[in-house]
Amino acid sequence: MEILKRRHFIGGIGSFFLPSYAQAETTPLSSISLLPQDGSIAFCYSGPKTDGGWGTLHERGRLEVSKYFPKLRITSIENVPYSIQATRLFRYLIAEGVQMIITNSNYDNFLHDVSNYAQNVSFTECNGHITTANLGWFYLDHWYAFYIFGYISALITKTNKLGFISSFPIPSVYSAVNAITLGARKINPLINVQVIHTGSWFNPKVTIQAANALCDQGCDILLSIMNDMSYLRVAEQRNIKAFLYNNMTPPIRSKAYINSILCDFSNMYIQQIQQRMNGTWNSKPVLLKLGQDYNIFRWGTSISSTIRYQATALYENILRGYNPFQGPIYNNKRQLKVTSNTTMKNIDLYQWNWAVEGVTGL
Amino acid sequence: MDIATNLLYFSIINGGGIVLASIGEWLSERSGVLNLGIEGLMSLGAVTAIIAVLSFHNPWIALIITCGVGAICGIIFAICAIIIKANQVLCGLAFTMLGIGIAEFIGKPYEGIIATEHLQPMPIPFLSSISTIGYIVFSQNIMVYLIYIIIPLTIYVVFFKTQHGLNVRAVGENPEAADAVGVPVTRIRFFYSCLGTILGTLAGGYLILASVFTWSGGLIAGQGWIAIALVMLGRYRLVYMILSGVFFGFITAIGFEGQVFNWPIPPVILNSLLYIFAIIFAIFPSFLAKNNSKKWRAPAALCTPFFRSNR
Repeated sequence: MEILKRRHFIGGIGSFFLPSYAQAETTPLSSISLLPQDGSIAFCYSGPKTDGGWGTLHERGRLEVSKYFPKLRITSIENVPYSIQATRLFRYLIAEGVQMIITNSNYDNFLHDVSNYAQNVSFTECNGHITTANLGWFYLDHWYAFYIFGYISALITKTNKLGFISSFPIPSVYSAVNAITLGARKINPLINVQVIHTGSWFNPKVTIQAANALCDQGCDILLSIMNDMSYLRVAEQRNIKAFLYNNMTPPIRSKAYINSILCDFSNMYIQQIQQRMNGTWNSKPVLLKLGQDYNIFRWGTSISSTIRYQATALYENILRGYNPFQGPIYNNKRQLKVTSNTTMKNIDLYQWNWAVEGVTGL
Repeated sequence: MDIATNLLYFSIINGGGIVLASIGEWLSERSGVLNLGIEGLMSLGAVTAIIAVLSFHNPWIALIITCGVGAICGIIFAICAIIIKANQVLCGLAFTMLGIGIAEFIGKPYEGIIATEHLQPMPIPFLSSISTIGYIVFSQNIMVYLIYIIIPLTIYVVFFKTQHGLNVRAVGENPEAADAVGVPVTRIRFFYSCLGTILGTLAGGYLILASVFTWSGGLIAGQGWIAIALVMLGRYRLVYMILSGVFFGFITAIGFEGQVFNWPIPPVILNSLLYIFAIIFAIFPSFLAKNNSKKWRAPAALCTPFFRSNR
């Protein structure tokens, strides 16, 4: 057996740093155009694609992409966990020759590490917060939709308590809950929003338990940002109402259903992939707009026309450019956070990290 | 309806799955067969129930099909563990892995789809009109009455009041002696381990039709193991098993109530209360039962295959 010498160690340490040096020298290749038959795109989902909500929606977008680019090799991976396993998966996909990775959730550093390592691959993550040369993000300005939902809730609620089933305390949840609270308090300042974190995006079992806990507390309207819509069954059982988040086929006949955000990612996906193929892709964030890329108008049959009319008026107002997020806005410790005459911009709303007055549990 | 009442109502519903699975395990263990496959069987039961209810739109047909799947699994398990006399622990573990794997595989296209039908509450006349107890105990669905009242009572009568029950317990304690007096050891073990498997599978179906309404990978999340632990921790007493099952249902529900009441405990810890209490539960009864160990012990021939030629 060969005896290890000092030069082996030095050589070993040297070769350890060599690849990172070599990477620093690589030029980003994401600007090089692709032929459809050479292209390979991967979609990674945080939950299953059959969840009837967020996952299904992205899967439909992906199917539209494969119709539009029939020669492109498109793969989709479900249930990608928020762990080092995600990093391993992204690295594996890159090794397989994927040129663009699209995730339907925020994988933060798990993705960022890989994007640094593979400069020739384009990365787009939903609800991301890091932008580098080859890593961008996309999202929808859901705070306007949730503001309208809050407004409608205030017209319907009898207990003045709204329940929100959340996944994790992250900015998109803050903006959703805050928008609901501000929208509801516009009509009735006594309304409170109770939040429960379930610790996952897709776990129907805990969603149902959380919904039950919120009902026990007296909430008579449930809202959520979860991937699935299992809490609708709880709402039906308990004779209360619920808003859904991202369902292509909302159960409008359900007596508990009020409304849902309906989002279509296919145009955005096709655009992004087309840019990647043309070699013009850049990591500029994309924010999908209410009224253009997503909408909220599939009413439940149990909702009266007066409420629909009022909601439509507010909706049209927002489309005309009305921004309801104007100061003064207090946080839930009664400190003034947004002074009067100040309007929160989309990027402030996207990065919202404090709860407004009237929110508990966040 | 106040919060405590609702909490108890849902504790009973949530605990039902664990209680039913632990009753199944108890039956199997009383006849001397250790079935560690409950986790896998519950997964299989859950996935069968969701597929059946989405196909036939009837919870009762779904439960019957779930029982059928349980019976098939039970026969396979019993052939391996009792007829071929393979190691019961390994057979059980194999069933767990196989069950979870098959369930995740078959259930993939059904993940997140809500069951079209579920078990409706069936209030018992007169009893359900008692103020609080009436709502908590007597306004539940029929499976809850079966799990908490009818099945345990039947088992109690059969096991402790009949000659047949004595025979079964004898098979679990000393199969050689039972065989000597003419008790059909293999037949009894076969039947009761199958029955245990059916109840275990039914527990998974119950979860889908009464409490969760939708399938997702990892739905059972250790409840099968908790059910096996409950039998041992409940010291082979049905009453303790049922009470502990309700307690676990309560713990599952209280985690979210804690968030609603803004307890200064992080949600991550509140969500893992079930597992924390499972560990606490595993330790404490050992202290309590120290002086009484003989009375509380497991069936003597548990996990021991019966060879007639060795008698």
